[in-house]
Amino acid sequence: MPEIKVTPLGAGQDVGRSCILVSIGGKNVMLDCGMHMGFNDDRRFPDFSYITQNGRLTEFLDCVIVSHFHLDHCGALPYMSEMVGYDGPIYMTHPTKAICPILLEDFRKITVDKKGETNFFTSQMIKDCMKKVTAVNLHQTVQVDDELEIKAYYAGHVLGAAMFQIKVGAESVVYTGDYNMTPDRHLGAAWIDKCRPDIVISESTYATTIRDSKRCRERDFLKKVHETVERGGKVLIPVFALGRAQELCILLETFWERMNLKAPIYFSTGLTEKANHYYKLFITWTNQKIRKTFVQRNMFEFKHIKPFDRSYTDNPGPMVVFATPGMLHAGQSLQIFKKWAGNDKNMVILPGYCVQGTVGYKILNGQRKLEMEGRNTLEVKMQVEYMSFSAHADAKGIMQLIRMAEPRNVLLVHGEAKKMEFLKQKIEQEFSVNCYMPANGETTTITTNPNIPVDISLSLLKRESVPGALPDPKKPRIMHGTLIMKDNSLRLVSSEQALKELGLVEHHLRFTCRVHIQDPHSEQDTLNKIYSHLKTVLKDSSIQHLPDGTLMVESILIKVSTASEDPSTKILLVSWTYQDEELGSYLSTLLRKGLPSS
Amino acid sequence: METECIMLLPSVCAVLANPELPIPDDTCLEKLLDWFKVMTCKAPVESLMQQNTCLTELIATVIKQKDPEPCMLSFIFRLTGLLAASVDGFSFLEHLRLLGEVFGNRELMQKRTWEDATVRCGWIHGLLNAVQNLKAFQFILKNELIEVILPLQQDCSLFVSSAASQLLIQLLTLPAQQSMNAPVLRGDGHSSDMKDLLQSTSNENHEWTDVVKHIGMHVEETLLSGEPFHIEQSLKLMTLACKRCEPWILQILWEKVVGHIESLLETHPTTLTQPLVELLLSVSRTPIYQEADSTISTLLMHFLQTISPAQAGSLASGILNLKNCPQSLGMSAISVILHPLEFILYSASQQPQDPGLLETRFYEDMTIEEQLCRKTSCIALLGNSLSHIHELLEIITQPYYATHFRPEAILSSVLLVLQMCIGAAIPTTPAGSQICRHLIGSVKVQKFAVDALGSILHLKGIVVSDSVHHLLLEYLRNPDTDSLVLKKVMQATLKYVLCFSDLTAMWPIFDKDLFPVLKKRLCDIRWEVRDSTLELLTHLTLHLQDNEEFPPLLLNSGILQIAMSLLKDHEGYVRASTVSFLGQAIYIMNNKDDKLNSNTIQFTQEGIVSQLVDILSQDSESFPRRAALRVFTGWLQQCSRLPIENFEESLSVVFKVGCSDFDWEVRVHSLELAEVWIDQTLANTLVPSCPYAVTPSTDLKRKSLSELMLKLKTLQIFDILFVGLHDCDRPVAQKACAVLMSLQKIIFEKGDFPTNEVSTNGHEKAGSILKDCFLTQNSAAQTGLINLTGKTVDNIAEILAALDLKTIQNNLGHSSDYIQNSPRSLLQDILAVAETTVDNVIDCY
Repeated sequence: MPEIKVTPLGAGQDVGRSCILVSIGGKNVMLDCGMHMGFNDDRRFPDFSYITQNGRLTEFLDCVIVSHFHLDHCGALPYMSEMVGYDGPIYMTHPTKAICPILLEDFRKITVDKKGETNFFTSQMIKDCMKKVTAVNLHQTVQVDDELEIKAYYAGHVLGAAMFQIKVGAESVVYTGDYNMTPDRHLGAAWIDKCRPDIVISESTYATTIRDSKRCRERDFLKKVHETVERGGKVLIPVFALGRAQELCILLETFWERMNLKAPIYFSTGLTEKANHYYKLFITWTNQKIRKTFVQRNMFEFKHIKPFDRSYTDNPGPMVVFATPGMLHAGQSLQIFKKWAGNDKNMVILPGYCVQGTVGYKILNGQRKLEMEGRNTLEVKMQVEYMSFSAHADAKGIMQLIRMAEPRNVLLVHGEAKKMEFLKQKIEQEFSVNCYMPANGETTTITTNPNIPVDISLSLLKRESVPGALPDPKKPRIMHGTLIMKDNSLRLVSSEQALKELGLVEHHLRFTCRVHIQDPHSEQDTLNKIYSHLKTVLKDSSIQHLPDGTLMVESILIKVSTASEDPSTKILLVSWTYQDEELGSYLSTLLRKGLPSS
Repeated sequence: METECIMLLPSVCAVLANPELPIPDDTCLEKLLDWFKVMTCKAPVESLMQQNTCLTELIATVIKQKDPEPCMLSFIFRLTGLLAASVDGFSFLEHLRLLGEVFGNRELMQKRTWEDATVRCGWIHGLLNAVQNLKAFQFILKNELIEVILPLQQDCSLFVSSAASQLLIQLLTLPAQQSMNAPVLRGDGHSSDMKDLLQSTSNENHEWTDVVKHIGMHVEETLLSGEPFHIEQSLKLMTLACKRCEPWILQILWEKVVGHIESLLETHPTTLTQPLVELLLSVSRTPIYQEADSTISTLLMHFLQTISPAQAGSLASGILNLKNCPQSLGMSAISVILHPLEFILYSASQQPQDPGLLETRFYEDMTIEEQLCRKTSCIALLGNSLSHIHELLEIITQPYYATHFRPEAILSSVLLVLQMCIGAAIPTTPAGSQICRHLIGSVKVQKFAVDALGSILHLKGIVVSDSVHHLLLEYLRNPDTDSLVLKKVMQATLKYVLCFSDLTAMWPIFDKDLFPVLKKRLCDIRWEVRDSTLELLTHLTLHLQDNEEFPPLLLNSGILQIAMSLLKDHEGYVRASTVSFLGQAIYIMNNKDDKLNSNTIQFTQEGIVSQLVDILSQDSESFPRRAALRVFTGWLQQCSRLPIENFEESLSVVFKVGCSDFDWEVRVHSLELAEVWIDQTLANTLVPSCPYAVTPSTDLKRKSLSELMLKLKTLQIFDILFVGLHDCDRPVAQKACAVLMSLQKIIFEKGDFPTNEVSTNGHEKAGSILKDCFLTQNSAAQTGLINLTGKTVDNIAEILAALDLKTIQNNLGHSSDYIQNSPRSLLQDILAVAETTVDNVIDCY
């Protein structure tokens, strides 16, 4: 039976980095090629030696698909393509292709700057890698080769994020990447059609969470920022250049406008323009409201948010600053943090995940005395808040997506094992489908029962259909006919039509067998005894004596002859057509047992 | 171990041992193990454990817990293994009876926790860490842990099975590593030692031999299991054994499995082809190959015949790379790779008697035809052949093979494939027509073929025909050419051009064909194509600028005009490549010939300089700004070839703008530029002292140094160096520090510049003067620059002399990442997680 195999090299029962290998219909596809931000050595990249030992990834993989621009989904791409060596096709959406190099470049600079690493991918490698990328549109079916095709669906989450359907013949897999089933201020909700894939590989970050009302979270955020600014404090919001930063910018911009606030809001220099450029360029990827109002007013042309200059840090009075990077581990955000940390009027709001070791991680876990560079101790008096604005589907959203796509199996990735276990049971109960949650390195094999679409002739359809009854997809029926494979198409027609079309003459096949029984009587007597015996056994069948001295039961003929060497042995010649195969076999078995003594 | 870490460790262990407290994320535990590993290498493990009893207490507590967290249990396994790696550590743990409890606990293996792959993986890794000494080896035997390890070698988790294979190999190699009574090897280093071994009365040897046999039997059984996944894992184990084991051990294993391998070669599912190839090639690289030469060669030959041509490429390529490969086998391998190309040649040959690629064929033509006539296998087969051309070329240029194969014939076949891919070939056979239909538009084959073409063009002494450039131009012109194929075609074009020592025949092609098509490509809608074109033009200019004919052709081609407009391209990468191209092209503009300049008057060197200054100050992306600075640095290094008017004025702007850039790499490049400028100026100013001079050389030096200082001050280079020294980005500060140090050396050590002004508390004074400069200037807030306007050269010299640059350099030498990397920080983080009361929902991007 055909199989689909899924092996996570990353994202199997964790959220570290996504890299999932799928084998479908003889094709090997890599879904995402992420980097683990928590490690500084080779452990940050997927170990491709599990895929192929000889390092020839191009030979093994048919394509790589990247779901969105976050580094835990695309960060290892230049390493894979330029350092390990992969020259095959890479697919991502247009916005992802445009934004990906910016984040990779940002990360490269931090790595080289902070860690002084030299054995890391270069700017040229990032560029060369991006040249290998083919950008795809939503709902566009892309033919990777003659057999493998992929199709992107809107995933929400971040600008350009997509779910991908991978199809080989009748087998298909949907990979969701990260997605969000509720629209936010600048992006829409994920959507997929009822594609009934063999398997949906879904993220499950919030597998057990029904997230609190988004409005509540937003209100809370605005309240905290407003209060700090009102008391003359400064608010630092460390963010990554693109993603939830734009969501928060829109939130503050609207609030400032409504409340007529005067305190300045700044965004790290250089990135505002760049980010906004992409949001304007890919306006079709934003939500309906932004698209509709775009002509009157571009939501990304902020009135209150201005570019930041590092000299503003010392300016007196309140202000709000969005600064990169988001984990307070380097650059501008860390520099501002160091200056503002000592003042209890100020506040830092961390809107996302921070890896161990970063200042963000430390202050989130309550550390208030930090040893900084130069071995000085920095006392953190400013308020520290954590507010998750990451746009993932919650448990309800995941169930909603499964309902939408109607998969035959579900496989959970990108989440914590315990939470996955809970969701797994829920999915299995509600949808009666198998749900899997392989750990990294574990292969899940799913046997598929591929559907092969076949055209059917109208005459056969009419003949076989039940008069008056409408076809019901939930109650499949078996149809009999002759399957013609011609010119790359399959057609089911009646056997008469098949003979006619193919210019063939009908041949009738009969099966025959000889049964030896002991009966000393004449051939005619034996035949009569058989007649009587069958009459009692087969009450509903038509049994006739034919003029040529044979018996006919339906299409089955029985002839009696005497064995030349032994007159008491009778040879019964039983012959039947394939239509009566069942009855023919039955009769031959019955006669083998002998005749009842009269 | 730092004192503070020693103090923190008991609390950390207590946190980890407490199942009620939240566990830090996996990376914390991994990093903790990294740290322990460093510790165990630095100090005797026994004393480490004695001084930090919390470690063994942690192990004892977690292992006794009823339902420990899988990640914590896995951590404990690996920690125990690390501590048991040395003999003293092992004995200490054994004395505490911890080893048995941790690794020999069969009950644990029955529990549900064991179903978690993390736990099994941790157990294996723990043992792998431990098996560094013979005591650990004995421990495994005594506790019959081999019985646990062998099934794990077939585990459904790739991570577990791979780790188990490594552990088994470690068991096979450890006693030899530990100089146990290894069997005496024969003079040639190979084994006939099976006998010696079996006859040996040594207990250890018997145990070891038993282990080898046991593992051999396991491999044998799994190879017979018929289960592809299990067979694959055993093949991988054997491959690993080939790489790591002593020849005599390998021989025992090989003798056990060779028969089964032979049967597998006949009837293996396709998923096992690659592992079988790997194994056969690995065993061919061991001494067994030399000993049992003919058997393995026969196997290799047999396998070549068995697997489909599309799968045979990597085996053939591996065979060619074998040392002492029998020539007949080598010829077969070459034939496997070249046969599809030979068929292509034949399918388009006008005269059937044309010499092909091969003298003898490995496959029947029918077999290859059948494969090539089906689209999927055609693309796979040709892709496979073409992808191995690069390695093949290295072989066939060797003396023996060189007489049988001509690279020119391979070139013809590759060109033919490329022609077929764009429908430019005229096939003469029905099969050829069918292949053409399959290949038209196949990007995959095009990529492999262009790469192969590039490799062939790289061969020394290759005779290339005109058809190469016709084809390259055809691809460059074809609007349907894929952008990545175009990039490769451009790289091949460069190689093609560089093949010629005399380019006389090429110039008309440049003029009439190449430049016009590159002009078009500069306007391509795809940024990738525009960028690759600019990269090609940059390389061509770099390599050909000294040819008299090249500059006028380029300058009159109109390419520069388009390139100037590309400085405003919407894609940053393209703008950056344009900057690099113009930076190179400026050298060929250094021509006073009026005829030449008549068309390019608006594209003067000064014009380009000013455009690049604009890019540096206005471009929103860092790539073009970085490229601009690199170009300026290049120009300055080559200034003798490039007399640009008012260049110094432009430089002062470049320094100023570059050093206030928000991209630290631009700032570093600016400092590099300053460094080059200082070197150049010094070279010009500090003329070697003349023994007959009237003025003493010291005075001369001092005078020229004063001039240098003045120039540096005028160009505000001191300003940017002092600001750079305090930059928040470490590489900038490091660069500024390095430049200042060299200046210090030149001015005060070599130049006898007066330093008596520097008082004993000079360092503090320098600091305060600098601080003063930062604070008093009004414009600092806007420019981020220091104000040294009021300072004299002597004042600046005073600051420079007083700066304690060595200390600064030392401080900067410590990675600023130490917060993230330091063990103390890690321990604090683990404690903080345990103490935190707020449940921060696990999150990601």
